[in-house]
Amino acid sequence: MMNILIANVRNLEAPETRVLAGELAKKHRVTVCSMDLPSRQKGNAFSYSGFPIKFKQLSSYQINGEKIPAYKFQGTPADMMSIMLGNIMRHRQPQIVICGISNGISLGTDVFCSSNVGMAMQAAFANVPCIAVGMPMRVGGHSEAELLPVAQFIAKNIEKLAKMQLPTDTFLNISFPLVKKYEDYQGVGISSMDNLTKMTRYVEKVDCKGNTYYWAEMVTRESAENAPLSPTAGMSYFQKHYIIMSPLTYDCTDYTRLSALQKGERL
Amino acid sequence: MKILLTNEAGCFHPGIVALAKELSKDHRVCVVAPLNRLSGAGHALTTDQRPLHAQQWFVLDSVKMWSVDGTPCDCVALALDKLLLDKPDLIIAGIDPVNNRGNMIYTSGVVSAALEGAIQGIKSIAISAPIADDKKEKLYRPVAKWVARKLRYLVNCTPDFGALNVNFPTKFKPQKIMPTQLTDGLLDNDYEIEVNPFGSTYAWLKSPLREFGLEAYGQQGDLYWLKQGYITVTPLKLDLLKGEAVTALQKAGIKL
Repeated sequence: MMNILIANVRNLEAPETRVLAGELAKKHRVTVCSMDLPSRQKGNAFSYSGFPIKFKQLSSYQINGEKIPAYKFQGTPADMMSIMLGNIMRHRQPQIVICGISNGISLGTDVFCSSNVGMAMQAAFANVPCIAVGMPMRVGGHSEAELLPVAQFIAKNIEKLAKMQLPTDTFLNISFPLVKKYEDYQGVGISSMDNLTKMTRYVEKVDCKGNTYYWAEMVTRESAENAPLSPTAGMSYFQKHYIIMSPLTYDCTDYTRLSALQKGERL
Repeated sequence: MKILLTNEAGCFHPGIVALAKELSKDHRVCVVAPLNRLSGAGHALTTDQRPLHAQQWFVLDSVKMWSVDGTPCDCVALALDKLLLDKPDLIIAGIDPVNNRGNMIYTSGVVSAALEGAIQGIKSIAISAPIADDKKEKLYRPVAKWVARKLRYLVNCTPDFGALNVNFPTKFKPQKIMPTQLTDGLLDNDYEIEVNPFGSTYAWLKSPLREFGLEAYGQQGDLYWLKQGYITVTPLKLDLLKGEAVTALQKAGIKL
């Protein structure tokens, strides 16, 4: 029996939260926290200025007839994770934190702006084992039947995930392909998923007073365009229904460049 | 060079104004920055919640200036896609009045803006200098002058597909520069939990952040060198994949 924290950026009633928590609560002690309003693409943003962060414990939150401690937050996802681990769960730290299931996978440089990975990074800062879980994006979210295989995989491997000895600055980002049932998964791979990455582009519009405004849209592009990251086999296996695990670090120092600078490379 | 300037402290913050004035002597400078101070914006992007508005200001001679009602990363992305006529050669985020070192870079709007620039394929530099009275432009002038003078060096330090994080110590000597890595284990948020008269709980994020880990991490990392009075430069990469962790992951035996 483990102490597990599930964090979600959508809301407590979303099927993502309920299916995952329901599956894990069969054997473990689960705590759930979620944003009050969906907060996408918030990265590691914090609420420094302006407003205090309101949060609430829901006394009547139930999944499959079982009472589960649940918290609802305003502010940002990173605030939520930080308050959960640093204040609310300070004296009963979770053995593992699961961020997700996110509607959308974080590929390549998406990890910088993803709310889900941002939360996982906060847990990694606090030295708690954590995994960020994502599925391919679908407008309106996924059905419970599509989410169940993901929850089953995590429930099956949760002890191994909690006990694996990753370096302290590392956390795991797991991308699940969309399948109908558990048997459709072909295998598990360890790879980066960085041959695709998203760019922010803007759609320009004019309002009724003649002012210009801009809507952001995330556009997928091949990294070959200006090749910041090398393509890997991860994506092709993902499309063949493999589950891809990518170990990520929060130390983004470029050590190759750094050692060149330290050696006093003539600049 | 064509240089795009941004920050998180607002487009009229003396830090960015000092930098714009100094750099515009030799380069073509554009400023696209948030209208108001947005500390701790991190890599947040304004996407589905609301659209963005941009406003042009004619305040500084020979510097084009826009304010955007979004985060620093919004500013960079919008500037590159819509506001600027041609792509800049360099993006500089700063001068931020708070040091961004260790894990704090992920919370920092200026380092994130630099990383966003790098994602879009442009060399980017984040600059921060702790200045006690951050309302006075003249206090930023020495830093801005140093940046303008050392610009070529800083650009050369920047990795091709990455960003450079430059931190100034409280009192700096121009000749003391140290290339170093990020200090691990710095970010410790301190929240104060309160209850309001209506019975609902809320948390205040105390600022500044608590600092720890200096002893544990020994004589390496940006925090240590900052305390020694060095200007630290840290090259940052975009690929967060940790190759060394693969063996540990294989040993864990996670399977269907």
